[in-house]
Amino acid sequence: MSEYDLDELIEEAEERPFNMEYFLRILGYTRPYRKTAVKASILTLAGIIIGLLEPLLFKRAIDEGVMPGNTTALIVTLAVLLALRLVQWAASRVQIRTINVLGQQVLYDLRQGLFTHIESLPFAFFDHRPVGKIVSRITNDVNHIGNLAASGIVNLISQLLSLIGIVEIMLYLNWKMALLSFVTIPLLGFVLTKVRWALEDAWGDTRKAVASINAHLNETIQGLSVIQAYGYEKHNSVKFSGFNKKYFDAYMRAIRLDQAFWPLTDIVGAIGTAIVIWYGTSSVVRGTMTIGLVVAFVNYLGKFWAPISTFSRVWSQILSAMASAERVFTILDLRPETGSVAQEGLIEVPRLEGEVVFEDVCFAYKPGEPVLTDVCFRVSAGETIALVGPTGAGKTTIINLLARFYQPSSGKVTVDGYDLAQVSLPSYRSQLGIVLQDTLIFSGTIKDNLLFGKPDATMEEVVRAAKAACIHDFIESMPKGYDSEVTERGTNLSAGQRQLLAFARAILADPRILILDEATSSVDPETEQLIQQALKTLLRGRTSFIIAHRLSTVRSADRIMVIEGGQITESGTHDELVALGGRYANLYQAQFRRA
Amino acid sequence: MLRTAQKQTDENKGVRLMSDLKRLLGYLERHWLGVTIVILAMAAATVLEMSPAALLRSIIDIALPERDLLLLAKLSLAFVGVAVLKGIILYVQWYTSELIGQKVIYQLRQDIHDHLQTLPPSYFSTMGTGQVMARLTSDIDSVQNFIGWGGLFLVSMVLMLLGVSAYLAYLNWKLMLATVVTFPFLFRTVFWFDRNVRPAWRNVRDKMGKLTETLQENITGIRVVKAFAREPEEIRRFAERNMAHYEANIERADIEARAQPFLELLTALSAVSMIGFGGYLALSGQMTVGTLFAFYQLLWSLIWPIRMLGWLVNMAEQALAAAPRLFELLDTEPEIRDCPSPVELEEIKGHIVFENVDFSFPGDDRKTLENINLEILPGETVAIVGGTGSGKSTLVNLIPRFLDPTAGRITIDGHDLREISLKSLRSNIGLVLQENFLFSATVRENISLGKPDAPLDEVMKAADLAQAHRFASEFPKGYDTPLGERGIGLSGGQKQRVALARAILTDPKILILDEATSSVDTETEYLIQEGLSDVMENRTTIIIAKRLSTIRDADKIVILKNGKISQVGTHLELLSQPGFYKRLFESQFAEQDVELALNLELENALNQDHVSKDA
Repeated sequence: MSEYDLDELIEEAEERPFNMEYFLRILGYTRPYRKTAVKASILTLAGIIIGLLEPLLFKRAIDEGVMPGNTTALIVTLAVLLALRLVQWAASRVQIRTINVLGQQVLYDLRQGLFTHIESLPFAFFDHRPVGKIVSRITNDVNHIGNLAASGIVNLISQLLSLIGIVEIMLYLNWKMALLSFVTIPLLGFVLTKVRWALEDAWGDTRKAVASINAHLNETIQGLSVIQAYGYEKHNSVKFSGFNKKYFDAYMRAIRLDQAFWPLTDIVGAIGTAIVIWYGTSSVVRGTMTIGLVVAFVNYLGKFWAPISTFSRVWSQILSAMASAERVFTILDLRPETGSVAQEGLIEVPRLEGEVVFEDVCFAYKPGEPVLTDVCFRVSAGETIALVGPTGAGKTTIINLLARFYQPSSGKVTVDGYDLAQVSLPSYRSQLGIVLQDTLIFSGTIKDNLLFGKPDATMEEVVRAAKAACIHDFIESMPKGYDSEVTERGTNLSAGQRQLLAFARAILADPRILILDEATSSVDPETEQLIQQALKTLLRGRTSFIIAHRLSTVRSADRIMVIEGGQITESGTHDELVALGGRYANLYQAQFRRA
Repeated sequence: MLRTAQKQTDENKGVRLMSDLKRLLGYLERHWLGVTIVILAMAAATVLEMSPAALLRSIIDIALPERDLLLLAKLSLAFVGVAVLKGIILYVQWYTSELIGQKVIYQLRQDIHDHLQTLPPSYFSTMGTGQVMARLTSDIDSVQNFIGWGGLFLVSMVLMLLGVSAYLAYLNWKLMLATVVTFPFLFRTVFWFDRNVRPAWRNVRDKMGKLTETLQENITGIRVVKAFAREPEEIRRFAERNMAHYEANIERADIEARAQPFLELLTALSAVSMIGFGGYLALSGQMTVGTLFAFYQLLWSLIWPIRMLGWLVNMAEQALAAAPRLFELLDTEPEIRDCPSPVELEEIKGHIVFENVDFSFPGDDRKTLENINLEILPGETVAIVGGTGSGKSTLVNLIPRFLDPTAGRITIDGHDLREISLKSLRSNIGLVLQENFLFSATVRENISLGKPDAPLDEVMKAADLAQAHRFASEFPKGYDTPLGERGIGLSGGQKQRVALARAILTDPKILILDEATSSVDTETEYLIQEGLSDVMENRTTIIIAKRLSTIRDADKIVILKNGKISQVGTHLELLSQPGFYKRLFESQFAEQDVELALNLELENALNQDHVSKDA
């Protein structure tokens, strides 16, 4: 296991226990926006204070206005109430905006930072890790953390203050009645925490169930022709009704809890109200309390609900943010690829000639399972090398080392005498061109795709490259020419067209060293001819390494290297190797037997 | 003229809407008992909603002036009693309504799924799975929310609004008017908010979707990104999308900031106006103080339904927009289906004849296939060869009736395909495509799709013939290893081999291989062919391929060009004449080797001739 493999437990967890270190680190993301955070807190607090004053004003309106029949007192109180409400209206408008700006800024920074960091990580991080998982780190996990950092914490603090305020005021107004009414708090806490958490679990199950329903629907549509061709409809329906039933059950389980939740809080609330009304009105009868005070108490009791509910919500927010934080911070703490981030002692590579030397290179992806052992070779600038050999022999690994996607476990790779372990990657890789088997087309226009390796190229250069790659005519035949949109992964282009486009991309980038993993998929003879023609242009004037599948490509190489079992077993020109009568000669003869 | 036409379409729309609504409600019909319970419970809950206010009024107007401590205790206790009773009733109401809703939606979802399966695959290919899925799930969600609880919630909110208003008007209609004076603004703001916040949220989701898309592309193509040292450009691109998402969120927040505090203010204005005017009424003796308290207690019960209304009406609108789309899907009759009394094929020989077959896709005047006449004898292997867009795949799709010819006919053993039951036709055909879909199921389940009860050794044998056994048995759990999105990802070549094993296992009389081995390397393909040559014996096999090694041994090679058959012959016959096939052959060799290869070919053929003559 390398340092870039993460613990499965961490990767899957929905919630993790509270961790102070992570919590502080999350808070740290609000630091650049301290002013906004302070503003948001002050505004939130202002709203809360006004909210706390309101029942007192109602008390005054009743006790000094309505009950004794004092019109002036009533009007004055109501006017104050109205003024406060206007202030609250203005404050709350700004508060909602401020808190969102704060939260979204934190989200933006965190997301951008994580993405930038991931871009600098070495290949070992991406290998064997599904794309979806990495994407989910940057989308879902960042959301969880950001929500907590912004609204969660501000809410938590302000509601805490609000709760303290309520308790203080109630105790101040009448401590006996206050203590009596607090009897319901443990009950409320129980309902809010225990039932709520069970409820969240239940809704979580429902979400999972709905995800499997959608996954199945998706498969049914995608695999429709297979389903119909094999008469699989009945089985498939039964399978679906299984998922459907599971969702039904999960949903109803959640509903049983959910629908119990609200009446329970109502009942608990009613118990508190009943106690206050009974004790309060009895005191009114005895003349030790005013009716306004009773009303104010009932109001304050009602306000208990919001803070306690916020606590239980924010707490579960914290736990899920902890799980996300663990994942995100673990990635942020991974060491970036050596050479990808500016650092002292790195060599900025000048324009390369393209002489490549492998000196006693050994490599293993996993310890104990060597893929290359003591590979030595020298390639002069401008040479075209064809790598030939069975699957798994180590061809791709040689290319991975040359591109510095990995570093040798021992030995070294040098280009023009520069040890690749010490070069600055941007300066080296910008002189490298790679065309892979599975050609990646990014969504955007054809032109965007061609500009990939040289964003500042002129239109003239683009057209010249496309012409050299024999794809210009095809591009021109598209409705919008170079501005035609292609979709993700290039699904609206044929395999041959994708390949030619990748060739044009490489020609435009004009790399000093070219790495080419020829596609195995077969294309029609016309396209095949175009590909061979374009290939010649592509290879001219640079050092090239080709994992070759076409015999025509192999034959025209300056040198052929046969790789078997992690070593170079034969090396020479076509004629030399045929004369040698070894593995390559065999391969060559075979094509005529089963062309 | 124009206006009447417009009016008519409006009327039609109205009729359509009513019939959709009726159909939607029709799903509730079977559950009439439950619906009755729910409605009764709603009525009871509305009455109970007003009870605490009535209790408060009695306390202040009766118990307090009379200083009746016992009555006070009783009335206080009644608060708890009312809450418990209301809790139970609400529970029954909601549970029942959710249960009904879920039953309905369960049925609807199953109906849709099962109906989907009868539609031709081409129905979805025009739209793309992603889009179909997005529409389908959001439509089902909308209908589910409405049927599940939104509809009944809407009714209960209206009931509460009317009930409370009526009670307050009964207590004191003047004060009632003073209380609702802000309501027109309240209504307007609520509806404004719901109309605007929904598109704003949609915009946020869209921007998140775009961001995810960029991410997905970047991570998938990380090799290319790094190889071209594109990281700075990619980081900039990501920042753009990130910023767009940020801005969408702030826009959304602005709408909330405009509406929510204003709603609070309107609520407060209502309270102030009520207490002010109510206080005056009480002071001047026109009303009891208890009534004022009752008003105060019920104010929230009046405002809450209004606040909910905007959201619920919106939900209803969404459901009514989504339902017709679902009904349309359910009402789409598959064009390809069994004729009234179809022939059940038992043992077939596999004699396929195309007679003057034309095909064009709906809405396209061009003929994808034109005047195809082709006889394929039982047990024969026929290769179909041609450039991109020549109609090869369309041709083979006609055989399992994924498409029907627009003119002419196709027969198997003398029966017109359209007279044969689809089930028996398709169960005699094994189909392997270039892009083979694997389900999120185990290797074994994926192979035994067409024969779910096949014993393991049979599955293994099929896998072995398709060269899939070796890698399958190396998986951690062998044949029980899950594949697909939540399992092991297979390479294109491995997928093809699993699909091939799937076809072999059903032992079909007709085998169709549409670029079925295009993604495996030449060595493995050679092995597959060795295995297939046994399998292909006694079966009619139709192959589409570009690699010569796959085609050359066919009994008959058919060259398609622009939807027409341009050449038919054996490997040697076609090699000896100029044309597509010869060029295809030549393109597979290096220039220097072409002549040598051609000569060797002819020599081989002569030798084989000698051998067969000697025998």
